[in-house]
Amino acid sequence: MLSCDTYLSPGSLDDALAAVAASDGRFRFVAGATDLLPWAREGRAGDVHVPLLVDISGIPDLRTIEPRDGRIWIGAATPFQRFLDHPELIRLMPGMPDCAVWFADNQIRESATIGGNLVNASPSGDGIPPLLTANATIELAALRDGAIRRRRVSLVDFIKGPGQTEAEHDEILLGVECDTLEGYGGAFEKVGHRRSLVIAVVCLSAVVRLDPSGTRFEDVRVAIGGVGPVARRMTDVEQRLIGQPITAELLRACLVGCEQFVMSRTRQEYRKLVAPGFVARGLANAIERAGGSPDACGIAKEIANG
Amino acid sequence: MPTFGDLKLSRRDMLMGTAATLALGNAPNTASAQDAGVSGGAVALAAGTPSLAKVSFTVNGAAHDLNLDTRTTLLDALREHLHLTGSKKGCDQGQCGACTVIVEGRRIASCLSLAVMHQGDAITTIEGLGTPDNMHPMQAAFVKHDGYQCGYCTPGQICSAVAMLDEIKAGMPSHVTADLEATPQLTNAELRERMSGNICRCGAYSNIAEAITEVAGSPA
Repeated sequence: MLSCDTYLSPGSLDDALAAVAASDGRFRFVAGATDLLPWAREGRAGDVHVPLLVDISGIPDLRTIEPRDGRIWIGAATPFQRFLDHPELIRLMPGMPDCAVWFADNQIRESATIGGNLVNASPSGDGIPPLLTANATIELAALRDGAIRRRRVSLVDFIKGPGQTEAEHDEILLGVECDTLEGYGGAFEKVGHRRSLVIAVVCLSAVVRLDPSGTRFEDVRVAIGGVGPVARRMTDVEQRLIGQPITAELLRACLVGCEQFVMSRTRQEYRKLVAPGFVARGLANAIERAGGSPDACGIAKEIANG
Repeated sequence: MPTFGDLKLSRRDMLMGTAATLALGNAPNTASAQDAGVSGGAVALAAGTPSLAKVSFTVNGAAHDLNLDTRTTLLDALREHLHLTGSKKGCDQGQCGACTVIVEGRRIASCLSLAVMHQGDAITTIEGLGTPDNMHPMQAAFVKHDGYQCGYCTPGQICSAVAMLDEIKAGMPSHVTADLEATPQLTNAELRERMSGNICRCGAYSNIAEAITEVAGSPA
């Protein structure tokens, strides 16, 4: 089980950083705890003692959801369920509700935070592909030379490998700033051993914006997770589609080579079959949500159905 | 061989000690790639006397001030300290839903939450929803429709169902909602999807679905 000598719930960033600065370095930040608690159980890490646990979920910056400089700030302590009931998030982050409905179950989504999903940096983290498509920027804060140092890192650079991030041990992930994608259509595809509470074998986020006639791609963003050490944007696919009219030939062509993204150690063959299928299905669903013309929707659906 | 009495060890202390010994041997190898994030940082094996922390919250309308071992989960605080044993420990890792309670109006897995994380929160357990003489409509419907066999998952199912109906009223979509921005309807598929975090080993699902459907006031 997870035990600690001291459990602190600081109400400000200053207090949180001061607490860890005064410690001997043996501390952990915690928010939703839905990764930490099951990890510290028999059969995995067993009994884990952390002298100081600092619950950062009460820090105002981490709890804020607001527009910032034409983008949207999502505090790190935002639980996944908010992507399903927060009107601004739903309006500005198409694709995130689709991801959230696949994430764990309702009970876990109410506790598990977006920041926790990022610092956990699982190759299969469900929240990572949609944030990649939103060009997310991470903001970190730490105490350096007696002052708070804030720095920003793109999500692409933040996650360095399985469980490895750019964050230093005493840095707090404050939140993510994302592109606002109002008017885009979003989709999320995922497969695992069952519907709820599974680690993705493959997961994919697609967001598209179409021209007013709903027949041409104006913007396309696709990211895939679960198929390698880190989730990645499928820029080759995107570049082939942006600016082009939606045709069967174009959609078929963009699927060629998708299997190159699969770099997992296991179930390679299966994942190589799933990856292009998810690109096709993600695009079809996103096109429909983006207001695609009946023809465009029909073509995309036909390709998705093989 | 010393008796437990001589050592003043409770059964739990004994089990905890055993677990710590096992962890010592296995710890470096047990973390998978997915765990790497949580395993980083300053951690050491549990040792010495447990640390206590104060926490105050309201359970079923009654205020409680507790002085708890910091490792106590919300579920253990409810069951072992407040003796509200309705909430059940099934898997103890957030996969079965038997420990579901309602915190600040929202359902959570109480086994995956430390008690100290709930300072000032209002918590509702199955005991707070109703009593045998004055049952909550959801409890009455589960009885009427035989929504259980062994009953172990039932408190979690009922707490989950009550909160779930509120989520639908609030317009929260689910995986099977065709239009994520339209007001969801409580179809059988919606209900089953939204209850997918609650597992029933006896397989009373069809009766559970009927009970919830009756309370929701729409046909299955």
